[in-house]
Amino acid sequence: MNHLTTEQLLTLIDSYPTNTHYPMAIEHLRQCNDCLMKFRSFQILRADFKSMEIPEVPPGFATRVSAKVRERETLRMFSKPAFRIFRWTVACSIVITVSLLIFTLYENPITVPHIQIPAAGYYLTFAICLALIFVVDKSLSSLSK
Amino acid sequence: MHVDDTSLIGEYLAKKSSSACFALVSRHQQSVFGMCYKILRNREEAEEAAQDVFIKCFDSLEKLRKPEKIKSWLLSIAYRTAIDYYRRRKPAMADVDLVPEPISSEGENPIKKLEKIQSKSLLQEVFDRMDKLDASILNLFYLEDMSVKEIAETLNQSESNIKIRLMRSRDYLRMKMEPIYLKELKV
Repeated sequence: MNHLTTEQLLTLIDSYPTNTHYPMAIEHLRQCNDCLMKFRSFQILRADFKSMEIPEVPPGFATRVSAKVRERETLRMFSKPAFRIFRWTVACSIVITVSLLIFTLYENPITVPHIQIPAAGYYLTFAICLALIFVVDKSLSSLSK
Repeated sequence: MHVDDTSLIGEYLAKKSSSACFALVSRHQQSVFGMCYKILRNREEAEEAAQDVFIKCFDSLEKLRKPEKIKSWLLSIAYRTAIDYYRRRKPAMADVDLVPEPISSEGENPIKKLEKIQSKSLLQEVFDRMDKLDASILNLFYLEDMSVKEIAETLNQSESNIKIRLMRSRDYLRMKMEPIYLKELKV
């Protein structure tokens, strides 16, 4: 008598007791103790495996994850190209305002009566403007990180 | 009212709704955490890995072509993430949570109870030493009740490979457990 193969036994187990395609295999199990033992071992294995404990998800897990996802979503919004344009617009506006103020100070030395500003000061102002653009942009981008 | 995954995903993508995000996480957290835990066997690491899985998922949710298959997708990310964690793990780290499993069968004969505990801990021990892919296949098959086709999709493997691995790993486990099971069957 040929024994049932592991594959046949497992196919039987996976759909047992609804399986009606293997009447011969079931008939064989009635007569062959070796195959029956193997079949029963697979059944116990499945039951044991299904009852293997997996600990519950820690409390508040979903809340923590949603908060993290929301946080990342905000960051992603800040790093989008539209926000980069906004960042540069803000940086340039601040710089233009500051430089206008400085130029106004140069042109109207009354407000700072005892300080003489040399012509090279304009170049210095330009350098300060560049530095300011850089600093403002960096601080705005660090806000989004 | 039960809202399906597809509607929740749609709601999240359209409004970035926190409640949709929370609902999706709550719905799939046990499966994702379970998958990570089965590979890592450490609660803290599994929690961290599961959190990473959801973050990766929401980061690229718009790329998901079949929203109804989010569970498979999440489990495939969970498998890859947990494997990454496992590989990065420091050698000295404890591999197994030493928490005794609860005994469900009350009023049972104490000797039988003890045998059941021994049998389960042996099964756990053998399972922990198995190849992580085989362990994940068994996990998806038995605990998530997934079909071979779904497992193949989830783990990005061919159906025939999953079928063979599933058969071999179950036979391997049975052979390891047989002395105990035969004793159990003869009682």
